[in-house]
Amino acid sequence: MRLRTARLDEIRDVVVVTPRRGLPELMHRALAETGALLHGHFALYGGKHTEYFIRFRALSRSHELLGLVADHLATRVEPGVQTVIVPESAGFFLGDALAKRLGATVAVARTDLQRRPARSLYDGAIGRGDHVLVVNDVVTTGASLEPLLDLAADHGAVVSGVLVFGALDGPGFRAVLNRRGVPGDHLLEAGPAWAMRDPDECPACLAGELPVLPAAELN
Amino acid sequence: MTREAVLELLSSSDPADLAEGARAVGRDLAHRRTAEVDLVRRHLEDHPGTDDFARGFTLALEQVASAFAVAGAESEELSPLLRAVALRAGWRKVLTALADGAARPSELALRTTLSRGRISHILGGLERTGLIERPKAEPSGDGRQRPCRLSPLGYRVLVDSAHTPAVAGADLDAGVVATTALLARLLGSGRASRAALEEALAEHLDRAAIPRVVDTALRAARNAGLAVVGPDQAVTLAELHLQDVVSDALADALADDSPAIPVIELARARAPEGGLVVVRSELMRSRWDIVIAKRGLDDMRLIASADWFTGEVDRIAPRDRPFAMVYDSPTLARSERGSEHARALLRRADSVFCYAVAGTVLPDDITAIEVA
Repeated sequence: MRLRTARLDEIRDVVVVTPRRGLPELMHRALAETGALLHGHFALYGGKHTEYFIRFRALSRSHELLGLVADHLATRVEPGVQTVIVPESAGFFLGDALAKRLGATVAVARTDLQRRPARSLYDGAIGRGDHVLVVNDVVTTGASLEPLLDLAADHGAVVSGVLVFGALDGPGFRAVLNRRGVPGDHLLEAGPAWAMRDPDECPACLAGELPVLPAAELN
Repeated sequence: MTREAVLELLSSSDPADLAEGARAVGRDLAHRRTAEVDLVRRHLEDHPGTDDFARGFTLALEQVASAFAVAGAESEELSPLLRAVALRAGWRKVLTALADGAARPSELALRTTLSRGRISHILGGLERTGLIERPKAEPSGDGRQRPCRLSPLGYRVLVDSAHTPAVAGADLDAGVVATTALLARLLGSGRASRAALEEALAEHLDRAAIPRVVDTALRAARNAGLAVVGPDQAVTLAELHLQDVVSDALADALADDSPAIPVIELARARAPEGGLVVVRSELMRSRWDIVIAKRGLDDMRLIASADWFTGEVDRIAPRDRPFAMVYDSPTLARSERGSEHARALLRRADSVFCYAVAGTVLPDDITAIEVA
């Protein structure tokens, strides 16, 4: 299956944006202008296959759009955040933009060989008792962010919240946050036209097509 | 400091002057100005100082300079000489005697208690193999009484043969082959230590021979750009060592207060005028991405293989701007020769570079940026 960027009308069906004034228009524009929403045949590390993938690295190349996205997320932050924890991946750019708005410093966590956040600090510092914000670009349920919550706890920090650009499985994301007892928010999730299926139910696989790449390799 | 000034300092018997002169020689050594150092060495030999202290000092300095001059000599080149010295007790005696300073044959006979005839014969052999040096005979003088001194090679062979007992040549060759194979196996995990290598060899080789065998194998691996031996004697596969170097540089670049990062500046310096440096990385692509953004390096871009698929290559390396490509891994640079996407980009590049450790073999059109 050929890889292509999603069109604006397609984007409106594929993603569901948190209903806030001006946000759906911004998100649709951001994904369309930067070509960040890809259509193809992708394998997620959780094992599911999907036809769409958000390549946040493409969006983060636009300073203007990245800034507007960060502005929206910054309104959801409890006051007093001193440190933003991000993984060393495209999520860094969102975390860095948020930190600038909050006057906070950035702590970068390593990623493992599969590019998932790891419970290990690569750059920056997390102080004991610091109020920290965990940030990433796009997650499915946010289970991949748990090592970052553990990393904050390792350093004796207090997690003020978890903010992501996209949480594809909205209910799953809220469940992870509830279980960890931390507040959090996201700007969009997968809409009805964006299905995640097991490989044996994936239409592209049934048609004999191989997934192009593990999705995380695109960021 | 001029050579004359250095020589003057070294002719003094004042410890402060000698120390100053030694520092100047040290700087020459550090910058591999071996021809300069050799002139100083020859001067010291003709002017060995005015008292015991100065004589001892100049002898020590001469030995250091000589050892340095042949520090890079290959074991393959040395081993026949080491074998020759090991087999000839007379040669060893004379070389050892010359380590105390230059001497005429009559003086050597006294130092070694060998007959004059025997000394003369030995000196002939040592001179032919380049282990000693003798000034040309003056027409009026007595040729047989010309003073002799150790050559830099002589110093090296004497030191090496003193530390390592004689090993028969066939044993050494077999040992080196075995060690190289073992090294490859130990390095399968990327890193090994000299100690682990020696330990593993203990059951196969005479313990006394092991250090030399290991030296030779490590030097061969290093010269071939396969491994790097650290000051702590840790042996690291070249590719992994390079990753460490680049990763450290990127970590330094993220620390807000770091000044220019040398490893990164080496790449930036390759940009054509008014152009870009396009870094090609896979393993460390996120780190490059973050560093380029955070330090605001407008003349640098990152290309990861995902960019081939998403068609962003022309946006990253626009067709109207010249650019140099810099690979951060020789393995990536080599493996990518088969990629249609990569070849298309390489054709547009002004020049192509790759970070590498010394000795790494790269494709012809890729120039190494040596960082270790």
